[in-house]
Amino acid sequence: MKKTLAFGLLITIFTGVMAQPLTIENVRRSSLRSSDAIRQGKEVKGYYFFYISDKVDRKTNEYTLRICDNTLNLLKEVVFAESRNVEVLESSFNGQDLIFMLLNRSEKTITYHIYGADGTKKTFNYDAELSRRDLAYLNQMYNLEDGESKFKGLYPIEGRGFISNVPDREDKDFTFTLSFFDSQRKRSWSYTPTEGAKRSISDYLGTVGDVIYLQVLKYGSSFDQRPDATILGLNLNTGKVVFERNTDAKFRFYASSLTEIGNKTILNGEYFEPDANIMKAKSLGLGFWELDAKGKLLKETYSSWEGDLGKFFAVNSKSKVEDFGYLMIHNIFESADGNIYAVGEGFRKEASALGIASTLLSRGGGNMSTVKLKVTNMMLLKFDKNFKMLDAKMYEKNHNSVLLPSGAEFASTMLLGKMAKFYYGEFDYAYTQTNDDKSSASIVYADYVRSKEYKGVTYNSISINDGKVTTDKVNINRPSTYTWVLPAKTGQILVLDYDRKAKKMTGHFEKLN
Amino acid sequence: MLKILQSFCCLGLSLGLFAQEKPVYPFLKNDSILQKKLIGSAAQKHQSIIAGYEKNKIKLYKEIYSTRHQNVMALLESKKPVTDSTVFNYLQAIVAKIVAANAPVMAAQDLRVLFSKDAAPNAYSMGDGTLVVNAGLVAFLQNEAELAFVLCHEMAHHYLAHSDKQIRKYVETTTDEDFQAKLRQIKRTGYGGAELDELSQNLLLDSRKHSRNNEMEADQQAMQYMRNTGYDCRAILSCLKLLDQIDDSLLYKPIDIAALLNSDEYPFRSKWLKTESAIFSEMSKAEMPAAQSKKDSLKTHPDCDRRMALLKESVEKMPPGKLFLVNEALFKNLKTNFFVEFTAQEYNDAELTQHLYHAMQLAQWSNDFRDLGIFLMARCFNALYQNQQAHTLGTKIQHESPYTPENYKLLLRFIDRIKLNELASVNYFFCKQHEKTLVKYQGGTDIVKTAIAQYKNHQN
Repeated sequence: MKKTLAFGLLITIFTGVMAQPLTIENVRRSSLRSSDAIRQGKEVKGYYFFYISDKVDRKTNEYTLRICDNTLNLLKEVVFAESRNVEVLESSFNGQDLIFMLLNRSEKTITYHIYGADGTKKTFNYDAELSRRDLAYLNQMYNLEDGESKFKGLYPIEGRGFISNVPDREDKDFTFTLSFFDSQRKRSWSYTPTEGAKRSISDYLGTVGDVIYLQVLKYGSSFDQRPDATILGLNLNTGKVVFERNTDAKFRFYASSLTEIGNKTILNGEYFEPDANIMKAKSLGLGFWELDAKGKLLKETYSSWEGDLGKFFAVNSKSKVEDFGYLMIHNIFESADGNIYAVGEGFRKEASALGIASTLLSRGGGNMSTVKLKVTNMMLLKFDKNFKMLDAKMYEKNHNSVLLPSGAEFASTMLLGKMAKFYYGEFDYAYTQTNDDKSSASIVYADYVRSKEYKGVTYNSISINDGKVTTDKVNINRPSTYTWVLPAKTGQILVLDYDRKAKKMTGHFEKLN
Repeated sequence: MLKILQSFCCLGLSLGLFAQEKPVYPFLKNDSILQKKLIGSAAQKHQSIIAGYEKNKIKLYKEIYSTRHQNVMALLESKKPVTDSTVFNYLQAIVAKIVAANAPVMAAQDLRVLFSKDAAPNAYSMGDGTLVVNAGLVAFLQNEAELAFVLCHEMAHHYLAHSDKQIRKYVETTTDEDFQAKLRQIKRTGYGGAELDELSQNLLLDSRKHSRNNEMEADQQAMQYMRNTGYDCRAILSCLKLLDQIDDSLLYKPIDIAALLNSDEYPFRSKWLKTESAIFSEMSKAEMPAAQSKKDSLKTHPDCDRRMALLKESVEKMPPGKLFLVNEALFKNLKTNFFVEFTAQEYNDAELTQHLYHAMQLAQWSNDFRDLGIFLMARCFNALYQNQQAHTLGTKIQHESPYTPENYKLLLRFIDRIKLNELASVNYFFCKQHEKTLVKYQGGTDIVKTAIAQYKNHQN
């Protein structure tokens, strides 16, 4: 102890350090979900880093919240003591305030802490008590033991507050609770559907004006393989249902995201035959629904795999692109020239040698599926403003396998794809960063390279600048315990290295070419 | 565009063939024998210090002196010491004058005094008799008398044994019974981060406070040394005034980036320098005073105003002396040459944005080194391109911060914004415009060829 102290001081006295843009000492524990970019609109304006900085005593940890600007200059540091059983489930920033969703396992509570952008703690928290079942369900959804879950249930509403969409248990039913924390008026409401389904799963699509849009799947029983899909609209101010509508029109539709184009609210997703079971059927292509604030369908446009994507790639009758599999759309965004881009990733079902061996060895009693999901290449689709497909390009990457639990062999590939995206976070897509004038965008995704020159993780980008598409690859194989990448100004990434042994986190920017 | 490219390629190669290439830095030569002597002398000194502590039971002394010695050797073994015989001898001549005027208090054989090619406007005593004056300080001094005062000040630190006293105090404090008991307690509980921080922070602040007292004591002693040399003691006040002003704004004088990089074929884009809105701008301003006060409390030097006030009365009573005693012409020459030297050193140290700014200053404002500035700029653009392409630029450039000098901010913003293809174009047209200048220098033809190749990468 004495030795360490002596040298620590001496180094300070005698040497100057050519420091990296970000160096944080005493980071005892940090994870991907407790650091993120702070965005205003679409642009990255800063970062926050939340980590355990010290042990105060056997029951208490010291936590530090560090807020930096977009070139990593420290703006504010907040230090506070909290139970050592507290962990950050998620965090988000809405342009004015930061929210942290903290889980206390021993107390079985979820607490939402809100801080202003200047790091001042708002004088109100939101607390929710959890039952043992709630906790178990959260544990499963957030994959808490893993520590690096990508499950996302906390969303910012710029300048107004935050939406939390977390899995919930209501008696024996599996449901969800959608809450709105109004950080301006310091009040909150929660909505939990309790009737009409044994199991309800919701995807938060987005909020436009005062309406929250959700895609909901309702299962009649635990064995129901044919859920009903509805689009639910909730009033942002009151939490009351504004509308709930089915997804049947010319085709059956399943929305996966919401894009505001001009003053129009466009839901994007896949479409199916009118009576299809969307969990099992092959989708026919991409659909674009324009809805008004009351849920009325104003316009529907469809772009088919076979007819439109087939112009660029060989698509079979099962909507499958050769060697690519099915397409999982991650994001849809508009560019300055009015064109619309959709970024997606391929996936297909394959036999799992490990799962088969495990099943044989355990005489059929193994808990590993005999099938696995193969995540394949990236794809960028370009549409005109009327959603007519103009171009489609595939970007090759290493295909990685997702091992699945026993029983997955009976699920459709489409369902497995959705599970891999929303629950396991197994796709390589990381994020899309666009600038405010929409003149440039960077799509960033991870890959793993095994070559003579380099073996390890890479972060790849597809950049669109004034309509011109370029690609780039950043090698991030490092000796640190964890390395991860956060969004930065358009055309850059922030590379964060956490060295657990040295309790140190460093970060620097690299430009995407 | 392709036509332009082809004609430039031909021009580049033909000029390369006929040009008489000149070395990049013709004025300072490295003397490896002298460097070895300095290293040997420092090692010998260290051995004698360690021998004195061999029998001491407190191992901490040995560890501290070894760390100090490692720092000395890191400097002496680097490419930073100026070993050019003319410049080195000039410095020794000034030191000899100070020593001679203050004999027998001073002993010249105890000292290793040298210039370092560092850009930071600073001078320091390393504690073992190694005294260093950075090129970045000399570039701003106005006369030899000011340099003599800087030397007297560092010599005062050495002869007053400030470093040794500080080490002794540190060792005595940390080996004290009470201190050790506190450390043991923290170690036993295992949860003492905050206490340990407080303990080390107190020690650090105490050490900084002592440093500030030492500075004032060194000033007083330096004034006594100066009085006997024949140099004009008023240089003490002018030097302190200069030190007060030598901050980043002096080191980063305004330059017109757009004018330097604009060409008819590839006009400079204003978007590269456009101010970005920052949601935290208000907060940054509010936070700055707090951050500044923390920065100030860690300063080892007291305010120059305070230092000047303490010396003023005594200085004004002293008889007039001379501003130059050894070599006025050489001093003036050094001032400009050292600017180039530290600029070159920044490139060697992979501090690419600092280097580019100073190269631009030379290209825009220097009469003697305008061409060299252009050469350094083109070479740096090549390096920026290569690093940006390989994703290794992140740790070699600086980014804007609230403390960045305004003039320098513009360059940082430009480097931050410019895309790889734009960088290739800027460098290509810059090289095209200045090709005749570039090929005059050793390696200039290769720089032009590289710029052409980089540009070609983006023309498909």
